[in-house]
Amino acid sequence: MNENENEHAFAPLPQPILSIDDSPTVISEDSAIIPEDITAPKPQKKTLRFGGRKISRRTLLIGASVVGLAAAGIAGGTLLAREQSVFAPGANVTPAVEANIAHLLRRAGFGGTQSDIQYYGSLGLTAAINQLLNYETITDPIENQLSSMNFDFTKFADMQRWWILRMLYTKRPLQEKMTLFWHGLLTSSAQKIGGPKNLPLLIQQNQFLRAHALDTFDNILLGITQDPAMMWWLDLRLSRKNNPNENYARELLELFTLGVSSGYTQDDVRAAAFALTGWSLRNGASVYTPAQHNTATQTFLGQTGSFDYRDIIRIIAAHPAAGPHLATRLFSFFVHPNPSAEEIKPMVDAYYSSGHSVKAVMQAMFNAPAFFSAAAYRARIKSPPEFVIGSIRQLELKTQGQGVGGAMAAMGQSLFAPVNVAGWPGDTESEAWMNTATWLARINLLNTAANVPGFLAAETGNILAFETMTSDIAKHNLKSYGDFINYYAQNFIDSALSSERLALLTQFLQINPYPSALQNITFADGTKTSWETARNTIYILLSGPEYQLN
Amino acid sequence: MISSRRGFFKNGLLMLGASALGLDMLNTAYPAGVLAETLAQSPQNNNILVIVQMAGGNDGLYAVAPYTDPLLAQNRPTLALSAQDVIPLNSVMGLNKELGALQPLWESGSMAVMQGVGYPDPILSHFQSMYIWESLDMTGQQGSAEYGWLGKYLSTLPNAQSQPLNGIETGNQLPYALQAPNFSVPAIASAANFKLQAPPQTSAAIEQTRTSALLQLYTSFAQANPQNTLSGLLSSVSATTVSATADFDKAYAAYKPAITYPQSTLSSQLQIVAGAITQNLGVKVAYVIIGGFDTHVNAKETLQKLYPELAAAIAAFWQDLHAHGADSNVLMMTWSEFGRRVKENGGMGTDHGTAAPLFVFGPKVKGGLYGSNPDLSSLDTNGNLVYTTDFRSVYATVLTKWAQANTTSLLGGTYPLLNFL
Repeated sequence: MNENENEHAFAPLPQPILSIDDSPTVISEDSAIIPEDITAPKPQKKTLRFGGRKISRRTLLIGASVVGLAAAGIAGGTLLAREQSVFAPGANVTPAVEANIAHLLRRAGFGGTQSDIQYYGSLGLTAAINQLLNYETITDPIENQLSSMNFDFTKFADMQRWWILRMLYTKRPLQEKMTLFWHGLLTSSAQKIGGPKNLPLLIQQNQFLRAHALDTFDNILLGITQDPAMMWWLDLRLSRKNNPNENYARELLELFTLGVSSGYTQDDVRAAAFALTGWSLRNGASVYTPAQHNTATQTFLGQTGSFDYRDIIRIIAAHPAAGPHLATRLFSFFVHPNPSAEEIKPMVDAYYSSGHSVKAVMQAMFNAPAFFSAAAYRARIKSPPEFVIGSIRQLELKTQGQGVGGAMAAMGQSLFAPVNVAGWPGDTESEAWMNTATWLARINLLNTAANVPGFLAAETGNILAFETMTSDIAKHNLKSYGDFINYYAQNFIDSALSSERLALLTQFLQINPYPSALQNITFADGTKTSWETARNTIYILLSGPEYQLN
Repeated sequence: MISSRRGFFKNGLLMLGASALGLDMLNTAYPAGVLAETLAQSPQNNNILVIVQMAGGNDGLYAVAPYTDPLLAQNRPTLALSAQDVIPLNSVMGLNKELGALQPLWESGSMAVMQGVGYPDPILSHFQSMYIWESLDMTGQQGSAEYGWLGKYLSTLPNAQSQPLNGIETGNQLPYALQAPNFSVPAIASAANFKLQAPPQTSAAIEQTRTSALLQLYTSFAQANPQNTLSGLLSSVSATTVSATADFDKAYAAYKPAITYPQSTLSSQLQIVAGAITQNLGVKVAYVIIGGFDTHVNAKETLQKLYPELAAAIAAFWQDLHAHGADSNVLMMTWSEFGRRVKENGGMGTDHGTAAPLFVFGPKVKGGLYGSNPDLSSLDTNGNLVYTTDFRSVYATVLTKWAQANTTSLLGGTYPLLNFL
């Protein structure tokens, strides 16, 4: 690819970002998510070039018979067969490739824009996966941009916004997604960190998880065991030599590594608690004091000796239950819930044959047939970050992130404040993301996006700028209500709507529920609608069932 | 398994007409689920049950203490209550003064303390133990049971399918206890936000058209994608939300609290419940959660904040209901997944334990202290208390004497009834 390939990966962070109002955005549970004081960033000119050789999906789908494609099982995306041609580099970015790439980017990141899909599609699936996995080779300017923003990490809103901007604008989407995964598994919380002055410890933990996201499980566990925020959260800082507390030891076994049904006993919890003593916090830093470590002989998971924390991690990481537990958690998060032993076997094998490398496990996951199977397609309810970050990215709103953390919280995931020591139940069982409260939070956010000027982004103002819409209509020759709706359906939910469902939206477009508005969109076939109606049609589309699924 | 819960959604929705589901059709949208058919229908009565979950494992010995027992101080250097720390409930048991806001309820005889509540072969995992309490699947194998005990109860109400506000929860995470066959119990995280926002300057008719189109996208998606196990859940949640918000919104707006609630998350939640009850929204089960009870370290410091918050919120709730003349048919029960270790650890906290007391409130409650006092001299091999009352007896008492439900079919067995009702 050309020298700018990294630039293509995800939309660039809007510049300049220094003019931002850094006063904390306080989002109460009851407040609407409408920041009103956003300093509009200047959008960067798009410099994406894809050459003339590719057939754009738009040409293909809008020009061709949508019914025919659906009949071929392509437009519906119900079958994501892993054909050889799909994986070959340089192939045309066909709808079949696009559906796979869109699926891949929803799972390995937070959803792809049309530019992203074209870019990764042009690589072919194998190379796309490799690029996502080998993210250390990609320079990510986000780091410098964020460091110039003067965040105050003793403020919760700033902490969330710092991470949200990463999710929005990183060029390493898998690294952010993995960080979110680890934040849910090896979780810690602002609710128990010793007050606002210690909140920066959670950023430190987050940076550790990001830096080691694909490291060996042993290294990740060694790091998180001595992580100050974790020591606050699960109390290892106060586990005393001769009278330890069991909190970290129990959750290390039950939640982080082996699982509750793996056969460990209360005696193992107790033994681990003794072996893990010796740690404390001093001025915010973790300190290991050998004299405060209990050196008594312990029997832990069938092995006997005078163990310390390194021994406990070593024994756990090599345990027969560790690989399957980690693989199940990853598979549930990235592919679909409740995997069978057969489905996770490639990941488990990779775990033990690679010296517990998480990268090897993830490589096995992406390359296993299950990842692109029909059973994986739309098999998870989108998590709040997947929904919110994905919407902002796909609508190409330019935002500096104010209000986004509160929006996610209303949907059930307040970053840095997990539900409990098990993180968020939706990470494993995605149904937990969906109930009346969280559904309302989703569609009401979209209502605001569609109807309240200035939502999240002064530049575009609304769900789709008038200029964007009319330009799409002209560029893609959208001649009718049906063309218009299916163009956006292709973009946002991978496929055109069936005629019955298309009729629901067509009906809405044509009743023009805003009689006061100008009939300011006229299609080539002579039908008209208003920008307001069109925006609310997009609201219906994004509020609908397909867009809630990942 | 979970998959069969999805199956209910799926099969249920397949029975719906494709185009029929407009706003006016919502209240008849749910067909009876298979499980609901196997459970005996509950009679119509006006009694309301409010559940307060104290998540994390409440330290029962610190809430209701055997304050004269020398073993308490021996085991607990910083967490043993003595006479000056308690409101005596009798000559040997006392309520922590941090829970003092409950004293008027105790003195008026509308507070029962049920001691030693637990279950056989106790499990020290938060999540397995919560699952046991919520599903009554005593194996603790999470996910094996399909529904929660309250979800099942709600499904047996005569108007289960048409009255979406029969059950409410006041957060944005639905507890397992409220997992129900063929409907999604409304989660009202915020009373002010529990409404479908409409675009500005839009007529109600047009707003309905937009909502109706949206709902029909959900039903048609569920019909076209029966293989997608989430399509039924989505359809159910969207329909319930539209229906429940329509019922809730205007009625709740007329609610005027009779007292000023304290500032706390639990207070806000209980205020939503009080509003729903006083406005006669048809609530039969309301569920609130307060977390933070996992006191492995510095328990005293933590509970000095949590207990007053808990007690003040509960006291305010009852004052408000009473002032509205709406308390006579309300019963409140607390629960926590386990108590805590008798012996304090080196961090001035306690590790996971077993049996603990729970509280029951209400004007119809026979106030008093029930069950055996905790025996600190006879602990299990892990140093934990041995339970003396099975939590299923508490459930059976509430379901039988309060809800007048067919308890055996709901709990899958019979348990001795207790005398607090």
